[in-house]
Amino acid sequence: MVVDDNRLGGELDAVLHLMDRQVVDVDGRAVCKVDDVELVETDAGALIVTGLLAGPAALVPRFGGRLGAWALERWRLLGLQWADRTEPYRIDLDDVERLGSAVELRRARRGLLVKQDRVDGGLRRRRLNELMWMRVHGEDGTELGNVIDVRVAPEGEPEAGAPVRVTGLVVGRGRPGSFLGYDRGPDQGPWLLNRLVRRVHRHSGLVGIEHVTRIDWEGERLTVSRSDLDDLTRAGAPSPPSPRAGPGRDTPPAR
Amino acid sequence: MKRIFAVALGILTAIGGFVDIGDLVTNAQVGARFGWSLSWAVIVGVIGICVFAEMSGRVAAVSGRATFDLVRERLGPRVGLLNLFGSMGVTLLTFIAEIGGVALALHLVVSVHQVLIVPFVAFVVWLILWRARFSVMENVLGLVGLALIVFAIALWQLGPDWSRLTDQMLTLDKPGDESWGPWIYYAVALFGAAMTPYEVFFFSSGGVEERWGPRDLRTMRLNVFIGFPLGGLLSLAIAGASATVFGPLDITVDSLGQVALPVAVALGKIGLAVAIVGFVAATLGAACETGLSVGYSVAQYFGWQWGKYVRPDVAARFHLTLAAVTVLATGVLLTSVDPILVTEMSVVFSAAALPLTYFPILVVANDPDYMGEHVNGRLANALGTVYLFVIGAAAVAAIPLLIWTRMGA
Repeated sequence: MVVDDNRLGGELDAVLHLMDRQVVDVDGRAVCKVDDVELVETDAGALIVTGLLAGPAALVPRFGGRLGAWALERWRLLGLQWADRTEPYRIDLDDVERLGSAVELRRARRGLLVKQDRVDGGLRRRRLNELMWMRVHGEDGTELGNVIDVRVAPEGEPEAGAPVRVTGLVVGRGRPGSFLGYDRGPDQGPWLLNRLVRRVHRHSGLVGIEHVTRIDWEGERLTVSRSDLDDLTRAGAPSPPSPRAGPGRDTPPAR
Repeated sequence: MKRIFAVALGILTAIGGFVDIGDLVTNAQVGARFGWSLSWAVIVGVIGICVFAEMSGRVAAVSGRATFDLVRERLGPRVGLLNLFGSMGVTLLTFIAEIGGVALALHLVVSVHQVLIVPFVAFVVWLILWRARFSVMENVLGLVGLALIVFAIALWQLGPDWSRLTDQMLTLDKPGDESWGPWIYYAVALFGAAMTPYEVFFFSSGGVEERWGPRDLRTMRLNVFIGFPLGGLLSLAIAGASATVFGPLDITVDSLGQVALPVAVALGKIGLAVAIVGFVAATLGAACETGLSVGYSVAQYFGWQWGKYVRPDVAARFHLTLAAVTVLATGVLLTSVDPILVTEMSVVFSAAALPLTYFPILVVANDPDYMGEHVNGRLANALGTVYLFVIGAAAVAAIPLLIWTRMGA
């Protein structure tokens, strides 16, 4: 894994590698942060990463549950006369040149950010944050944990412009420290910190999107067709052949 | 030749930039009361800032990301925001102390009450932040700050009882007329003065400002590993001079004039003049660094354009933040609060706030995703882990000690 790699060319974990990164324009000027990530739910039920969301309307709900809702309402009340106050700004994923330690865009920042439309050709727009912390249950009702990260990968051969799909969910118990990367990096030092955080996150695992049978966006509940989790590996690392590399991708979750 | 010059310049500015109002006041106070019996805390602090600054400088050079970018990426927006409030509060407190320190230093010369000097100083600070080139600001103030070496000359001229001082330094004991409470409190204060969070914000953001790349790692390390320890020696010289003059008389230090007095005793008017020039440069430099650090942290959390490498209108929000904090600091100082008191508070709160930024930097310095082949080696991680505990212990102890010892009374 070299620093100069474009992460968007391969598999990545959206929270670990994309969320909260600095967005810079073609001249290297700061634009915004990746405050959230836009997902589109296709009619077949697949989830595709289509853009980056920015601005307080995207950031504030991420403060979580009641606090997020309260803060978003305060934000709206600060400017009641604006109809689109709670709509975030959006950057199309096609405008992204490269994803490294920052998100580098192809365009200059002047006039770059536009508000996200509510509907687009019958597609349902979701946010990554809506998926985060969703409770995950097995078919038989076993509680597997909460979504703590979302694994995505470009479809087919890694190349620019390929649609980036959600391929799996990282499920854990929602304990602190899941943004540090230790649960996915057994060799990341320092040793003591690694052991500690990995112990806290020993229940975390991966479930392929093909096993997701139902996503209840309103009830913040997600059902999968199995009762255990795959081992958590580093995104992009060569992993033993698993069902998610197989034909599962053609049978996306039904709603 | 040019490269050697650049390295030398970096080292010299690191020495001059290491000492700020917190180091001046705390070291003089500690010297007067405890001699060199707390010099271990300075040494622990200096090694700590070397470890911390090297990691954050390396992260900035390799990944191009400054401290608060990483805080938000690794801790998430919610904890990151709490972290921003904590770190920014402490840095703002230090900023207020530094501006007050410049005013106190000028007060020694012109005898106008420092509250009247504060608006003038604040205006100069804002002007530097707005107009001056980054390298000019850093180099000029850092080099003039080297005038503080006069404290080392003063210590030598005062002819202290060296065997007594080294004995205090090498044994873990307190002077007979002091109790352990204030002793440990001042140890934490010295640690906080040597390892202030703003130094790291400034160092890493400055690395991005000066467009460091992996090629500059060697220069950066030389600056850190030579410049900061020499700055630490300067701190010890201030404590030693203070111990020699005030120690036998049982005088406590509570003004900037007293900090300079040992130099006047040893070297007369000329020495005093040089010391005051050093005070003004060191505190003015630190005022600029802390002011910028507040702007850097806020801008990096929200993703605004920041930095002095672009025109102010390109980084408008950043410069608006700088102007706002300067006005705020002026307002606080105009209440005629004692800048020395603010300084004492700021070093203790610095110690308390340190883990907030140390922890994410330690994690990212190990993350191959950011660092590639430049991840922490064994030594960096061994020291990094030890300091995670040291910093944690100091942070937990700082505020209870402040209350329990009534600020070391």
